[in-house]
Amino acid sequence: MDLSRRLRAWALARPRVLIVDAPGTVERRWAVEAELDRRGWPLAMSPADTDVLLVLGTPGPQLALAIDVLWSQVAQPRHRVDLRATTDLHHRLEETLHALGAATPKEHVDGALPARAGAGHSPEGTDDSTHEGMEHSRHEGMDHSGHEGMDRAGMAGMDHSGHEGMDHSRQEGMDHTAMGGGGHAGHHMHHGGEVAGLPMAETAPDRDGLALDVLRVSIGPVLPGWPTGLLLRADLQGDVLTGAGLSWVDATDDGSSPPADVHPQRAALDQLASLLLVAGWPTAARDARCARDGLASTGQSELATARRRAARVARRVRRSRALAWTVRGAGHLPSERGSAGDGDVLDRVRRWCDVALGADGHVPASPASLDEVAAVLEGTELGTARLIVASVALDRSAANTEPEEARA
Amino acid sequence: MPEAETAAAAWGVLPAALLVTGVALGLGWLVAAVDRVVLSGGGGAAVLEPVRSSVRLLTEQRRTTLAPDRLLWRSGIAAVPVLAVLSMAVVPIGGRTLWSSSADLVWFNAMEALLWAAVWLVGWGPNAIHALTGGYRFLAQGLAYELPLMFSLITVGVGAGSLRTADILSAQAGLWFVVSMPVAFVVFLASAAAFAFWGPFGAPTGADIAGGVTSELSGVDRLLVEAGRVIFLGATAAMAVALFLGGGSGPWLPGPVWQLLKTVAVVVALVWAGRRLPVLRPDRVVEVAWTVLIPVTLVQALVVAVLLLSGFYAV
Repeated sequence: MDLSRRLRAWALARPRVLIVDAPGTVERRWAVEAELDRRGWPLAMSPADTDVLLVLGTPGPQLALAIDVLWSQVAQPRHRVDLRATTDLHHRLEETLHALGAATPKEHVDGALPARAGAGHSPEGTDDSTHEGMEHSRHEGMDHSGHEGMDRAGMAGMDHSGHEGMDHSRQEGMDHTAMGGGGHAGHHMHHGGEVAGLPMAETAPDRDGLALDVLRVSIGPVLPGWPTGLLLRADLQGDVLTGAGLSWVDATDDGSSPPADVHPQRAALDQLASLLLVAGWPTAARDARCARDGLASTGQSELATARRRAARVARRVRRSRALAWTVRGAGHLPSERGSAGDGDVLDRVRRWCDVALGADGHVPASPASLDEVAAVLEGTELGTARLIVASVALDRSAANTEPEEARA
Repeated sequence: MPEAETAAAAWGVLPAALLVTGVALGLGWLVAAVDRVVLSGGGGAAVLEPVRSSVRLLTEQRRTTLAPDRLLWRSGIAAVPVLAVLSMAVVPIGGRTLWSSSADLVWFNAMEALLWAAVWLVGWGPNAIHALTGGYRFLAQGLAYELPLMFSLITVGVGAGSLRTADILSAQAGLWFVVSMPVAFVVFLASAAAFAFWGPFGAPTGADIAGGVTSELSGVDRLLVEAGRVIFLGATAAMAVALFLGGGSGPWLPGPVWQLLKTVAVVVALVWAGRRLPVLRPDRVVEVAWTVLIPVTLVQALVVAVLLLSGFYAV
């Protein structure tokens, strides 16, 4: 018994962590990532890949709902940490290990899951979404953008709680949302009908004029290497996006996100780190994070080391022919906004590298607007779209999509 | 010819099969450990991490999704490691393969080709968009690497005058095939990374699609797919040693030790080189594969055929 508990504790000693950073917690996220890198705790790719869900700051209502959905998709054993400040970070992470390793699976089940997700979803969730579901089948051919997402997931979860085990029903339900799933809300319901409360994919002409399945998906608001809170809604044919629209969740309460006053070099390295993660270059992403974290130190020698690190990773990325070959030509932003954000993904990556090098005369790119970015996402593959989003600086205060419109 | 005796005939089917499975797991661990060391930037303690991850995944809850295609999903998941271990059946261990036919190379290639179906099903099964996208990407990538891989295998077959692994080993008694077939060697290793969807060919499990085909897997399901990937990579490294680097031949040390050393060297080189690159997007890889790699591997096969006719190979 003791042996099996110790084995469990050992196995869970390097948990995979999914970080959700509420607006205005950039510096806190950097501190947390630095500590995780130091401990060798990997960053999770999806809820299925998560042991610890770490929520930074105070999320707005919509993001909180998305977090509950994510949490319900995380397999046992798991632990959720709400971190308001990073002062007791070390202590909280040690606690997390203890909670993960010591508790039996049963104790985990009556943790936050049923209470939170249930309470969060059952009253409005069921009503709302049943209603929406019916709307879907009645009004054929209507554009239902905005109906998927959390409501839909809530609905699906409820529908299934009858015939499946408690825990599974939740996990199933959520699959179509926050992280990944993308709700299948097809809009022209001529045939097909519904499966498990979700409409089937429809067919529509693709970019080559061939009839191809089309799915209405929403991507975000929490993904690795993705600005937390950003929601991409689009039609997906194969992996090609059309009719893409970008919005921030909780876009109205912009009081909580003051214009970030952060170290430009560290911000550039952070942007590079998430772009390199999206580009599938984990070793370079790790080096960029490492340099970013080192630049926060106060000691002269550590600072010098961090600068050398930053220069090394920036030069390595700048000179990489493989990266240039694979991202070149993607996401050409129009140049009318001046020189800050124009060019393709590669140009922007190189500009970030220049800022990361700390060379004089390189100012960080001014934030791009969501509509501009959404326009270049049209007709790109999902992977390209992710690279484009990761290559631009997006400004939360420049939110230009009213949540009302998105929900209508 | 004693070398031609199979492991199953020499030691009995069951012990030989157990041995091959054990070696497969060992190779998988080797690949995962080296990968972890490279990813974490050094630190010998990382070699235990694959074991730790495996234990953790064994105790983790399995999850499911909304309206999955359960049967196909689970069979795809189970097929990945099974195919990986089956491909080991024709990889020589201590000079013997588990079983042998006149078409060992075809068997190896067939296991890897069946992986197309398995990975596609893992992506299709959970009814989730990121997993499905990962499945599409794997098929696109398969389109890129499959023909160059086949041509590089054929090149080896031409050089040895046989598709039997044991014959290929004995044909390299004088000179390792890597000397006259460098292109085939490189293409074979790159294809290994591609069908294990790892490193620069990791687009099917990319971070940009939240882990792609593995994005909905937890617990033992994730363990099976991850184990299958690293075993495939390890098996291909071991196969590369047999096909191109003379297997267990070498001075002073006994054959199996040489074979092990060479395999470790190939794994380390492959992982180190692979992790220096970002993911290469499948749509661009396809273009290069068809316009550059296929012609180059064909020329390689032609050169080897001419060398064979001129009596370069002692067969």
